[in-house]
Amino acid sequence: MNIDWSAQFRRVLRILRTSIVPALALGYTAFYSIYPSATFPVSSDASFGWILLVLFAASIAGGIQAEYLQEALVAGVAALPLGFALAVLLAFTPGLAGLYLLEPSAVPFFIAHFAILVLVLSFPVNLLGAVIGQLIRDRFRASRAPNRLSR
Amino acid sequence: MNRADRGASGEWPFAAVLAASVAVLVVFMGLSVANFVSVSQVHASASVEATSSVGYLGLASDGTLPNNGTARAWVNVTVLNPGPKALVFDTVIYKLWIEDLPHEAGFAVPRTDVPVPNANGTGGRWLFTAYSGSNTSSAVVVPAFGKGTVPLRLDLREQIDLRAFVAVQNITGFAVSKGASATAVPWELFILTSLWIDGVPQPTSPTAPIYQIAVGRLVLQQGTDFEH
Repeated sequence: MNIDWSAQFRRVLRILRTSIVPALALGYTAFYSIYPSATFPVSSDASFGWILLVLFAASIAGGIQAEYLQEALVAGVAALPLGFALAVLLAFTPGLAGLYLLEPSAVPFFIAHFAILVLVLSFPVNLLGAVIGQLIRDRFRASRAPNRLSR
Repeated sequence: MNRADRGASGEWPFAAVLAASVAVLVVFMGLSVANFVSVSQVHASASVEATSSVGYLGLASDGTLPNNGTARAWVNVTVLNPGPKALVFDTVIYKLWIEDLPHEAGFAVPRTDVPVPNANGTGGRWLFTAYSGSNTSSAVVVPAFGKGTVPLRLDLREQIDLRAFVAVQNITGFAVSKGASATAVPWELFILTSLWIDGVPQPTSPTAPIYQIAVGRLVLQQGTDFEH
């Protein structure tokens, strides 16, 4: 059986591109949920509505990018580890300036412990957003197809 | 024709959504990181410098502290803030110990002193807690890249704290009897102060973890609390 590695590679790149937005959103919201008073927007407590809004909007924006629903769903799942890694990276940023609020080796566990709600929440939200994103993409394409034919 | 192989002419709206989404999220993350780093800077760089001096009002002609005299301590608690966020003093906890010279000289004293062993563990000093308390009313602001001072004036009189006053009277009287002045008796200062970081609100949720309170609160210490 011949495997078209080039096509597979392009597919992986497409999935990664699709997962960028939900991963960024997950990293940002996980970080915000842990330090709501020291991030953006500054608030005394983390806003569940804001977290949900960002995750949902980002998952739809990501879902729109995929060519197929399967790709969109895979990208939604791939966004979880990518987003977690991003949240850890964000928590490390003071360390880049030589400032440590936490022991560096404790940061990943700290993020996992205190952002567990956001991490778990993002899974169904990403899948739902992927489906909605695909529906929007198909509708958009369908609306443009007659225009093309009429040219 | 495969959907994936279609031309890019119809893809630009999706690319625009991608670019806009990434841009918005990157801006959010940039603002978050900038704020987080500035709070971390305050935690890492702020420091406290406290000074104290003790004087005696109404000394008798022989240099001793009479019953109607006053032992007055001036404590200046200065916080240096090289960070980019202002701070607001919350609480200043202070303790001032006077070195119990009669006790160290081998006299039996009726008060409870704190033993402070030497570094090598042999011998040591005896300290008596003359002043101990806290101040929460100053609300002095420490500006960003600046410093702020809470000045405290602490009076010790017979009417305020008889036990402590009698101890100070006895210790200073002992120093005078040895030919030194009352002001020559050594004192030890301990300061523990907490400040709020301006622009970092405290959590209101009763289930908020402790670390979220610690993010906006700075605790600085100078000296040793010999009673712990």
